[in-house]
Amino acid sequence: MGLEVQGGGDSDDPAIADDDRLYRRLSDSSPNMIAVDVLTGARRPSSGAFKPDDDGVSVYRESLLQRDSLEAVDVVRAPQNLVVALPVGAVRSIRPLGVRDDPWPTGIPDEDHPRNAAHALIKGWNGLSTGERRRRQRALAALPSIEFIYP
Amino acid sequence: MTQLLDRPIATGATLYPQAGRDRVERQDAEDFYLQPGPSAPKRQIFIQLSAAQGNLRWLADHVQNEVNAMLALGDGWDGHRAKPITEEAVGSTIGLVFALCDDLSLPPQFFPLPDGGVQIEWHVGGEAMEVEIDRSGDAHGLATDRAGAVIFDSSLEPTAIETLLPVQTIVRRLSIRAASGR
Repeated sequence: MGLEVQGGGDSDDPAIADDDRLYRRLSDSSPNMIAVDVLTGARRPSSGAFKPDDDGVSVYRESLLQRDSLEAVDVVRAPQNLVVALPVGAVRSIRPLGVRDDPWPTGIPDEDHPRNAAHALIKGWNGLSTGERRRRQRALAALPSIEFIYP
Repeated sequence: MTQLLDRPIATGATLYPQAGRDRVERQDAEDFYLQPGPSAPKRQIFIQLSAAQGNLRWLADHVQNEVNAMLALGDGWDGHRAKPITEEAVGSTIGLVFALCDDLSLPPQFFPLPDGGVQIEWHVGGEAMEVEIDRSGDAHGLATDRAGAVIFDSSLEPTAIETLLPVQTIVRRLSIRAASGR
């Protein structure tokens, strides 16, 4: 990618395997978070769907969901939700992004839902300029390995 | 209850001065039964064009529909900690769209951002122009070519036309590509 920025030491947990996947909940209407190429018809998440909040980008780890007998459908909260999966290794290839677990986040709807034991964050955004941050959001949205897994 | 924003929020866009009563719709009924007490007022805009902008009514209608859908989003609309879209972001977004588009332009796609901002995007044949407007109304443009290489990356000032010219050029090129189907 050529996106090289020195990362902070706490932005990645190396114990999380590269071949684990991260589930990101999106919406395809009200609000729409899927961009469409008007010429090719290709659909992909808007890069805005990966804009971090103060903590990072909220995701769920596939291996932890499976440990608790949960799947992609358990991540959705509304009928218009969809779920995309990103391999951890592909996220890490967009330096300095990394992944850390963030189980049982507070101040969110359905705090007690069992999916929240698998909650994690894409981190590494601190210190990036607006342009650097947006290039990484764009790189996440354009990952060839991103997969629509629900519905 | 519907609350119309009661002042102009962008150059070239003025709003109905009086609040009107919305039709009672199914969502209102569900809110009444599921959430006791007064529900939060809905926010809506109406874009009024000058006579010289009469040929842009289609664009105004598109922007109005997209913006009003985003203004209806409440706290936590992403199922996490997303904030409602701000009036500052809406004002800058409308100003930018009318500065960047003309009557032959491909209209942008609209996306809410979790911080209360808005993102507008054009995607044509693998090329992309994306403008992020944050919750305070500050804008930043990012464009990539078919190979994914960044060809534009800069802050934008909605009222400073010189910062917008490169983006206007890209939007015009993408619009021509979309119209020609190549």
